[in-house]
Amino acid sequence: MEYVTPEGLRTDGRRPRELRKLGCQLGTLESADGSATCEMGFTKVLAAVFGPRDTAGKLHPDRAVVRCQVATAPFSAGERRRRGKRGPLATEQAATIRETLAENIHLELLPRTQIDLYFHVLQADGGILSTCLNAGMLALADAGIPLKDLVGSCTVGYLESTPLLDLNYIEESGGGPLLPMAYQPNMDKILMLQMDKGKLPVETFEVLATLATEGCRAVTGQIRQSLMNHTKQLAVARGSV
Amino acid sequence: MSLGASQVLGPGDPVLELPESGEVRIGSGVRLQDGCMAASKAGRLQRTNRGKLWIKGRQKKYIPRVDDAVVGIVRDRLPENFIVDINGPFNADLPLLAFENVTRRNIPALKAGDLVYARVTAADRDLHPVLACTNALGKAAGMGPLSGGMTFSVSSATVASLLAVPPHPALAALGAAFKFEVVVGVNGLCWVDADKLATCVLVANCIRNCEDLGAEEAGAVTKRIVQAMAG
Amino acid sequence: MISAGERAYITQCVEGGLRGDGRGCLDHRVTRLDVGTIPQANGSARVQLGGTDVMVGVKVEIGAPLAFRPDSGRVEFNVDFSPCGSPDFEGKEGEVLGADLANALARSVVVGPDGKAGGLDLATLSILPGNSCWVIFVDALILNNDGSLLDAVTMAMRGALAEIRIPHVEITKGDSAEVPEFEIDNEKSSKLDAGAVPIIVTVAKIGRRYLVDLTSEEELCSDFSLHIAVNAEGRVCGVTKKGSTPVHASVMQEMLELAQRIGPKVIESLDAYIVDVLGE
Repeated sequence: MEYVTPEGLRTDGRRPRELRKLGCQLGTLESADGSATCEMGFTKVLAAVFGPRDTAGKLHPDRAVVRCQVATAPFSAGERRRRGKRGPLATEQAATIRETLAENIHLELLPRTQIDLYFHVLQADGGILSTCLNAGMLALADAGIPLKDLVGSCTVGYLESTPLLDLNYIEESGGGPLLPMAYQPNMDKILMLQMDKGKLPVETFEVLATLATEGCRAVTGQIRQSLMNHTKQLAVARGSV
Repeated sequence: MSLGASQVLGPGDPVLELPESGEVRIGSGVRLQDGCMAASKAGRLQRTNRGKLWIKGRQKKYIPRVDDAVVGIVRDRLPENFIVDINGPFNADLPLLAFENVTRRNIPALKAGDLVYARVTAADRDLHPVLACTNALGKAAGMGPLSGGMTFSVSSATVASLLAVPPHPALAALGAAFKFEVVVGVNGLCWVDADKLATCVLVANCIRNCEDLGAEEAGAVTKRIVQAMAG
Repeated sequence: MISAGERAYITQCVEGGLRGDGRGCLDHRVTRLDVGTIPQANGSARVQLGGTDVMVGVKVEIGAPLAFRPDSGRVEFNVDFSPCGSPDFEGKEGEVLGADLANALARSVVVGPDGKAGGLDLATLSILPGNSCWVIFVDALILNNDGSLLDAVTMAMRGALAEIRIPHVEITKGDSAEVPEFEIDNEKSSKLDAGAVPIIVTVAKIGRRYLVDLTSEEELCSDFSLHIAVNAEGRVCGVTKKGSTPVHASVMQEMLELAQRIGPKVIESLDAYIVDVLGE
């Protein structure tokens, strides 16, 4: 299996440092307090936010409690599978998503409330964690929940000695290391960085981290654009121009 | 660096750098972060007459503020107060005696699902909001239980335009043709009543249209609908 | 949960032939259909019927036929309530509700006692009788529930099935071999003949009026409803009764006749739109 041809093209015709097409829509669900759909290439995730709300569950006196659940549609993968909502991978991803996005919320402004984040993976082609984070960020913005900054996420990897940006499913299955990263552009801070599956020399790691940061900057730029376009549309509709 | 009013911002965007000294007034949607004023939500930057900067964005949940007039749905009754859902993060408390000319003997018989029009008297971040069906002078001033009619929801942005003075063109067009009573709660919940149910349905739908159309356009559409109905 | 005041309001409106959003009793809400929302599935569609929002993804894979129907293909239904629709759908609740809907779909849309499906000729999906056949997985996702879920799901299913192409299969190693081998040709695929698949029209009674396409509030005000599967020719393919109120046979008859009149019209407008979108 050749992941990068001698001419420098990947399995889907991209260059190694090229992002897939990113698509964002806000307000896609009627009953959620905030919602968004995010597509990175063929990976498509729907995110919904309910809250801040008061519940019978465990609440914290000084800040909001954030809960997160990730579900996967049976038709999302190449092979149709009825994966339960509670598979080990889903639980771990949900925990990472929850911690990352919660860190970006002004939780102290919403004491004794609960914010529920729900994700549904409609199509899976690599980069699920990143797509969830991007969709979740937009859904939170759509809900008007006070946020510290934007968050953009992308995943980088390393195959055949080449750093790759935004891996698809085939590339993720290639056995190389995966580094998902989440980034806050205005504060210029890395919010989340993980490394799965593999060992890397430190220099290579630094190269990948730099590539991930650039990728995330590009992603946040596009997310911001989508958010601004959506907000402007609403403002125009309100009669204030 | 300061920004002109009505610029669209996203979370984390800088709004204003803190000056060396002096006073800066900020409102909802703007927070102090790392020595700089930053937006905490997406929306348009606004500046009040007194120079307060805040962000106007659209959101579904209602954040209560004192003196807002809201329409709420009664959920439960406790020994000292009713519990009212006002579409905010918390349910509100409406004391049993917070009505005009009421004593322990004639407390309004509100049940779960009934509607009330009330004023927010306390809205602390750490407490449940408190309502009252009286104004500061203890008079009802139109507030209290709402019976009959139908309810519908609009977003907070639409509420602002509906409550504006001069009256919204759509409301004016409807008022010229039909007799009805409408209450627009700042929390987005509205109530309409009329002699004929068909009128209620018409008014509710025309107001709901205002969600997606600007004021002028909504007024024009409403006029056309009203003419079609009358003809 | 609905208050007495709201119930009274809805019932009174309906008495006068009017509904909360200005519709007549037999009018559908504004319907939005998007076909091909999930390119990686073999067929997909999303339907927004007023506030009800459902997505259907269809995947076609090779599997084993049922023991008592060795020379037919299979269709399997699954309905999930996405937690994105409401916190109430988290966990087991969503699965239980989904199972009921999946059963109603299977009953109405698939196999009759004579082996002929409610619309799909499953015999054409057989590959090697007794061994392999095409299995069509219909997975529905409920993104928001504002009533008439089965109606919305079957509409979306119609859109999704219209996209399906069944690849051509060549058996390279047949009955003589232990494990048969196939050659699957995606280029030489044929459209699935799903024109006769029914849609479900839910008819309910409030007071003395019959209603179609109820919102979830209206559903709480009705004594009972019938989920009637009707095909393009107006024939009834299946009926499921919801609600425990006993019903007079003549009432059921009237509701069936209503569905038989309305169903074909809905199918016609769906098909016209689908043909437009898929360009065939």
